[in-house]
Amino acid sequence: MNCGMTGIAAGRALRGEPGVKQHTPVQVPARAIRWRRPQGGQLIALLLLAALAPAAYAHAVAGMRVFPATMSFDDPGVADEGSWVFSHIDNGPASQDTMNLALAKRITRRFGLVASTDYQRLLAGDGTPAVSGWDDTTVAADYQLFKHPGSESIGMIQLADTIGHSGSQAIASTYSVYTPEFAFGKGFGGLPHRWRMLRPMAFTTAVSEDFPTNPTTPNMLNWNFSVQYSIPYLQDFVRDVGIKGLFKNMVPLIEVPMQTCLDRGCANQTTGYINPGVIWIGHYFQWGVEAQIPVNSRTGNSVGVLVGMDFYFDDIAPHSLGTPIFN
Amino acid sequence: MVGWKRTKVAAGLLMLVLAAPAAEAHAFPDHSLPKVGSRLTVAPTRVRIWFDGDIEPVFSTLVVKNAAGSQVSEGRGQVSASNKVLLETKLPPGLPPGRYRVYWSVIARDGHHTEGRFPFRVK
Repeated sequence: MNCGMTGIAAGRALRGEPGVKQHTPVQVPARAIRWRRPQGGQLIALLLLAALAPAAYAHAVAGMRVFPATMSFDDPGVADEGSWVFSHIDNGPASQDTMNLALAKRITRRFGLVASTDYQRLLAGDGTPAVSGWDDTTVAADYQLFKHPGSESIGMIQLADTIGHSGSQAIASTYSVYTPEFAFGKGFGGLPHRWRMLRPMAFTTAVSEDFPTNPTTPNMLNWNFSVQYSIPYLQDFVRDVGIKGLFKNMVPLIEVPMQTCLDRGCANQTTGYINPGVIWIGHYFQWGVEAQIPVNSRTGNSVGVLVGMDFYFDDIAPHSLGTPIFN
Repeated sequence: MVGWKRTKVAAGLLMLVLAAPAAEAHAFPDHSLPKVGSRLTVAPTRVRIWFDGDIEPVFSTLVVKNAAGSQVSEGRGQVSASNKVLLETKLPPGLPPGRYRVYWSVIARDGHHTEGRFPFRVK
C-alpha cells in the first residue's frame, strides 16, 4: 500500500481557492491522498470484520520483487496495511506540518478498501495564529489488476472519493473530489548478465486525475513515479557484497510526486517535488525518511522533510487482521 | 476538541495493531553458502541457505541447476532437522566448472510464500 496522498490539497492551493488559499501560505506538498482519515466507527467495524477473517497472503510482491510502500504516492499493491506519514515544509516565514493516517483492508485477495486523512497545521509566519485541523476523509476501492512474478510487474486500479465537509471547517473542502488512478510497478530483475548490478532497481508510478464536484474547480492530473534500488534484492538474488545489519534492509529511492492543473485558469501549471530518501524494510513494518525538494518556484523555495512508518498487517496478524475477509 | 477525539481514535488503532498477536512473517534469506553471485575455485558439495525465520519442511524446496538448465542437486532439498531456518541440498562431488543457479521456494510458519534464485560460478 501506500499511504501517500494524491495532492488534492496542493491542487486546491494551485487552483487558488479562497477558503484554502488564505490559510495556505505554503504550497502544500503534492503528496497524494490515497488514504485519508478513517472515522472512528468505520475503523472499529473494519477491525472487527478483520478479526473474524480467515488466513491468506498480501504485500506488494511480484515474484522476487518486494515493492516498499512509497511515502508520497500510492504503491501498486493491494494489501492489509496501516500507515503514518509526517511532513514538514517551510516557505519563507510560513510553514506547514501534515500528519497522514491511513488504513487498508483487503476484502478479497484482489479487492481492498482504503480510508485515510491527514491532520494539518498551517502557520503563516506573520504573527497570526496557526490554523489546524483534520482534512477531508478519503475512501477508496483498490483492485489488483495483475501480478506477473516472472517479469516482476504489478498493476492496480483505484477509485477514490475525498468526501467534502468531512473534515474540520478550517482545513477541509466544501466539495468532494473523485479520483480514478492506475498504479504500476516493474522490477529490473530481467536485465542481462552484464547489467546484473542494475537488477535491484525498480520503477513505480501512479497516475490519477482529480474530478472535483465543484464546477469552478479545475481538474488536476497527478503523475508520480519512483526509482528504487533494493539492497535486499542485491544481497539475496544478485551478489552478496557483504552489506550487513540495518543497511541490508534498506531501499534507497527517489520519489517524484507531481501535479499539473488541466483547466479553469491554471491549465498546464505544474507543481511537485523530488524526494530522495531511504526506506528500511523489516518483518512487520517499514520506516522511511525523505527530503522534499521543490521542482520549481511555484511549488516553493525550501526543502522539506518526510518521515513515515507502514505496518504490514499480513505479517503482524496473518490469521486475523492481515488476511482477506473473503479468502 | 473534535480533532483531539480523532487523534485518540487513531492512537487507539495504533495500539490495537501493536498489541496484535505476533507471528512469523515472510521468510527471506539471511545468508547462504556458497554466497550469492560468488566465484568458487573449489566446487561446493552442498548449498545452504539460512533464512530470517522458521520455514515449513514439507513445502520448502531448494534445487541447483547448471547452465543448460539440468538439475545437478539431489532431490528437492530439505530443511535441517536441528535448525528450522536452514534449507540445504547436496551436490555431487567434483561439480564441473561452469555457471549454476540456485532456485529456492519456502513457506514461512505463518503460511507466507517467498521464492528466489541466485547464481554462483565454479572456475
